[in-house]
Amino acid sequence: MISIGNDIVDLSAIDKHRTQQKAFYSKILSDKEQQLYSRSSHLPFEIYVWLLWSAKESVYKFAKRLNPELVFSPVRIEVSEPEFIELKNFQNDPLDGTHLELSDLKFGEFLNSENSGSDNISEYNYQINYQSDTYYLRSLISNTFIASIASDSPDSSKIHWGIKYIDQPDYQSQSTSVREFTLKIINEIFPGEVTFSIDKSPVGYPIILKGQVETTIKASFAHHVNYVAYALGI
Amino acid sequence: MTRQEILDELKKVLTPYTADKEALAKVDENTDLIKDLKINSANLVDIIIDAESKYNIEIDYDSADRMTNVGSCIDVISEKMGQGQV
Repeated sequence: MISIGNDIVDLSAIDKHRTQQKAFYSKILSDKEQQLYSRSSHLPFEIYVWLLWSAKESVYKFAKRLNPELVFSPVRIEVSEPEFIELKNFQNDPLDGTHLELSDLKFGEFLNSENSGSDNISEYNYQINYQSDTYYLRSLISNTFIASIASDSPDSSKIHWGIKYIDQPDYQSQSTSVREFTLKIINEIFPGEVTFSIDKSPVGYPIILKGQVETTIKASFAHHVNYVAYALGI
Repeated sequence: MTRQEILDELKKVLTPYTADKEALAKVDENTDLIKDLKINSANLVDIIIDAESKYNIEIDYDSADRMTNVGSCIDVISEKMGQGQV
């Protein structure tokens, strides 16, 4: 894989009223996407706006790794599919680490708050065309978060995706938690090998090191208030 | 308004979105909203909307895209206030 991008939105932190104002959503959705909403109207409008935000942010992160000068321009990253098809709906048991059974993803890991109760999660797959490339998006919408990943292939078999609730929402805790969470899964995928560590590129994306050497694993991190998430292309 | 006056007001706009008050106290035109102030990207649109209402201006999405650091925020705000480059 040449790159990967992801994003997460903690729904407890979004301002529903503000999101529904045109001054707000018109800076995220294109005109076409605003019209498209009527055909995807099973989602509350504010959820639709943040779903597309997370998708666009994921595509931007994917493309930024390849083009460090790229500026995030959410309205120009446009969903091309006529509607969102819900693939799967499942209940998550939050009490211990759950492996999400996504449609064809290699691995999904989800650790929710112990007191959050079971969460109803829906999975969506769709596409975005941006700067003459096609991106394949996957999003999960639960009662508490929206998470997305962007890839350049419909084949997700090499993608690992993890989402975790954290108690402390400060920046340092988010940063530390997402790194620990990621290293844990990398050590599970490559058991008993040399120590892995995580560095940061000058542009800002994470680099996975094996010993002192940069690996070909592509990683993207996201955090928002009480949720952190990783996406790995192995 | 001078650039310094806009910067002083802009700090107030940014305050609710950064927990890093030390970095906020030291802002200059090169301060990056995400990298230096640790503002979550999910709040970028909030900042633009708050700036719109504070300065009574309308910021189109092309201009909004440029607002990644303090200097470019001041550029956009001063342009939209009809003063061009201050």
